[in-house]
Amino acid sequence: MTARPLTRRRFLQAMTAGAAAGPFVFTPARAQGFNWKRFQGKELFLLLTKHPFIDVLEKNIPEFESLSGMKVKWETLPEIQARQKLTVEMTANSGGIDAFFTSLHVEKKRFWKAGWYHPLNKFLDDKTLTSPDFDWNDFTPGARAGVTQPDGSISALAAFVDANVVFYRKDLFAAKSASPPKTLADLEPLVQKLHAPPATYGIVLRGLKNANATQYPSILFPMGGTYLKDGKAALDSKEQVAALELYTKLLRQYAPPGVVNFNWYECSASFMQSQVAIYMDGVNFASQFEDAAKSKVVGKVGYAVLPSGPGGHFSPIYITGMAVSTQSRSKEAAYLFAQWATNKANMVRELMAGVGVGRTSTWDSADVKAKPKMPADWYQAYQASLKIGRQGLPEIVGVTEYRDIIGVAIQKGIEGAPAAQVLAQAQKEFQDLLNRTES
Amino acid sequence: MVRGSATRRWLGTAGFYALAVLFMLPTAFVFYWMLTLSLKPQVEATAFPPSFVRFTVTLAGYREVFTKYPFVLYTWNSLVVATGCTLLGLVVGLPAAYSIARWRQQRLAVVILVARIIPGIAYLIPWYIFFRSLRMVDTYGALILTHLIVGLPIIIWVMISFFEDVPADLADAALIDGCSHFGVFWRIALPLVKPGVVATAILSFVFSWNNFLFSVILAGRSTRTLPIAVYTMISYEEINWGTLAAAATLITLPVLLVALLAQRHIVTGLTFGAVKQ
Amino acid sequence: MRSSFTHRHAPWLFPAPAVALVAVIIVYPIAYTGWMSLHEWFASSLARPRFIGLGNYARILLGDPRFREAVVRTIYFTVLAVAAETVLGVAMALLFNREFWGRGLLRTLAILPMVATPTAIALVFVMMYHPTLGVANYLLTVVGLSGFRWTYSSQTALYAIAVVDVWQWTPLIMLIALAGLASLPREPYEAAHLDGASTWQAFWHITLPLLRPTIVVAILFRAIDALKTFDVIFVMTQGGPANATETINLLLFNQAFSYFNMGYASSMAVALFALVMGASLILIKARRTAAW
Repeated sequence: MTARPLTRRRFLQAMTAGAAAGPFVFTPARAQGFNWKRFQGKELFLLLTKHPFIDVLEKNIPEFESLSGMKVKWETLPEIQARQKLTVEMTANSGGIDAFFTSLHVEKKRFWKAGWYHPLNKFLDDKTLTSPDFDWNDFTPGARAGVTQPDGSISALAAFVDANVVFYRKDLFAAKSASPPKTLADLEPLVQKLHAPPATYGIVLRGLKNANATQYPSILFPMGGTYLKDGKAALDSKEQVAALELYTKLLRQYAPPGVVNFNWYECSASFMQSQVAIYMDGVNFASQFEDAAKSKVVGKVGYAVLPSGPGGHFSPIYITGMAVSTQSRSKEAAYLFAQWATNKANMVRELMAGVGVGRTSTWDSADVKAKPKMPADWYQAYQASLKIGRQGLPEIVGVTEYRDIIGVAIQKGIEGAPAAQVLAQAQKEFQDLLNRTES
Repeated sequence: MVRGSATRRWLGTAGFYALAVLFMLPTAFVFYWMLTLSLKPQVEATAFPPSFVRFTVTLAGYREVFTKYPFVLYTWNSLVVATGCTLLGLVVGLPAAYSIARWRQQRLAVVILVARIIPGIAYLIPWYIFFRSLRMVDTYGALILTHLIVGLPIIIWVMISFFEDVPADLADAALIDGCSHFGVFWRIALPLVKPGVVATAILSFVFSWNNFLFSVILAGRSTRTLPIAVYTMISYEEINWGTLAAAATLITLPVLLVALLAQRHIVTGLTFGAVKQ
Repeated sequence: MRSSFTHRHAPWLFPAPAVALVAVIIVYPIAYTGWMSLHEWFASSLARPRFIGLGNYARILLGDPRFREAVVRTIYFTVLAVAAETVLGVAMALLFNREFWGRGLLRTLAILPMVATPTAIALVFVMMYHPTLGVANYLLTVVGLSGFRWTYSSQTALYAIAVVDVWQWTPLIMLIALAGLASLPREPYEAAHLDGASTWQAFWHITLPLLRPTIVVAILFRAIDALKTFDVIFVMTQGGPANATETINLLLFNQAFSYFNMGYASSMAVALFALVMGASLILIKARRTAAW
């Protein structure tokens, strides 16, 4: 948080645009201290995304309304529709949205380049705007890095921090006296041992294009692969080939039929229907596994950190946050909401509901320890994963295009095409994309 | 040979019904499956092999849909928009269809069609800008106007065929008697095509009801229409097939009811349109 | 009595309100899309759209294999679905064109799929198509067929989606054809019967030509909608697996709302419009030669 190299012209533009559009910077603030009621009587409009984090948050919004004396209106849409709505509003420069929930792993650089995020650095430094107990340094380093742009501007306050972990069926493992995979080398023999179709399939991972791109790094990172090397596309490296070979081979040989079009919900459904022995995905899906109304495997699921590999030990993490729109006419008031939504008390509530958050203090919270919703190994696996967390997707403008490119390569791999060949094609398209968008 | 032909006739009838069932079974089954899924608890909804007749009946899916979403409001909104779109479509569409049929304005018919041909997605951003500058975002007015793109071409195109069947002599005779063109349209042509009007009105209503693309953008919280709700269900963490099916059933139910009540009109309407007087 | 002005100008006064209303809602979008298609813009609040002339169109026509594949796929899907609907629909109409017990029930059933909300129907099919949990594969195993992958394989996904379209819209063609059949004049058949024509000959030389104008209109509307299919594909596969169901409309949506290529997406919208317009003109011509 010290040096902020102002190298990029766009950043300067962003700052000037922000300053020009923000008359409230000059609101007479009675400088002495922080006051939740400072913007009493204002009305905020939020664009939220259907998400476990938001499910918990929404219930408490009335509490924020009485705390701040503001009126909050909001709309919760599925991620794709929310992005569509945001795009239309921003394109029309409507100023109708004050704060929005943002999937930083997809939108971070794109929205930053488009100037949609209002930089929060000044607000965070301003003692009249940031509550003394907010404690920015309580966020894990990964969470802080995840919301910070290359030029040092902070685009959002980290809310939900997802990590990929291993879900496994304790009962099936016990029957074969197996233990969770420690290394990538263990993985395939283990999956093979547990594979007994059609009753039990060895493993399930997302196959659907775009969706699979967030699971692929669970194999790619430990294999030693990266997305970029010296700013150039690196999809055809030998580590990539090895990773894609393993990922697609596992799905081709040991996964339920049709896995090539499985998104997380098909994966989760087959796991909860007791059809699969191992499943690797975002840690937050676990709360459904332990819900008897939805799941046949309650109490039978073990949680473990991902296997390591020749390239090291990593867990891909994905961060979503609460951002303030540059077009908002009440940026400071919107910031109050973002701040409240990600404060310690709310984050404890989230964690207690089984939603992962990137605040260190929540781990020691007495409430969480007294009434754990999830089994102990869930908390352990999640915490251990955050420690080895690495941003799961390339930090580029065209994340969605990248996800489609690698996603198609993975799907072709699952359907039998050679890894080297599909990656060569993907490499070409990815470099094309970088040339078009990263200049 | 009397017996032989009786047997043959019996076989023919049996074959006919076998074919009829074969053709119509898929139609019925999908709806049956939607309904049963909506009544099953999650664990049974995704059970394999699936249960067709015997399963635990639960209304949990419906309860969840009703508690999570303001379904009554959405239904009302859909009703207002679909009705408004249909009425407006009839008011402007019927004279246009009459004119196209009577004066052979085929080019005009094509122009109307253009509105329908433009890909819906291309409308979204410009419409938002347009209606925002008129302060019409999140109003029924904007939704009704945009849904005209869906309803009006159907009304006009189907009604052209109906008006073409109105005998020209009838109109000419009335004109000679001093009747105005509007009088001919209103008092002579329109009563003759009434079944067509009912039919197209229903079609326009249904298509407006089913449209969801426009209301994601142009509707706000207070004017949001029903298909958005089902759309909102397909999202993060929603793998509950029972709930999904319940939402699907609830959205489809009103149009299905309309269609059931008015099916005779739709079909007689279509028949009338093809009958040459 | 009647005003001479309105009387003389009735041919354009009658359609004027409809035309005006349509103009109000489509002129601005057309202008906006056309203008945007000549620019490069990533929906940025910081930078204005950059004029690049026909650059987007050049890229569409020459430099984008994904778009070309989407065009071919869109046409293939449309031809497949509409042809199946027409053949099945006319066949069913011929079968059901008689008095029989249960006719009312049949009509009712036939109407249901086409009025049902497409997004809802797509959802139900998603659940039925599930390769391990879905009822479709269960029913196939009952009759001894092994599991299909439906929308879960790039080889079959487009067909699986066409099945949904056929399921939904065959009844429309059937009803229209039934209506057409009911209105056919008796005389040609009597004459043909006297001439000793077979049932098949009567169908081919009398029924089909007489039905054509009715069917062509139905095909026209079906083709326009099939070329623009969005809801069902979006809900069921979002264009996958591996782009196997990515039609122009899906690609267009992605370009605009996932990749934020506003200019490029606009040029695709224009291209899709041209494609649908072309198809429509051909069909309108077909109808005009049939009747009118």
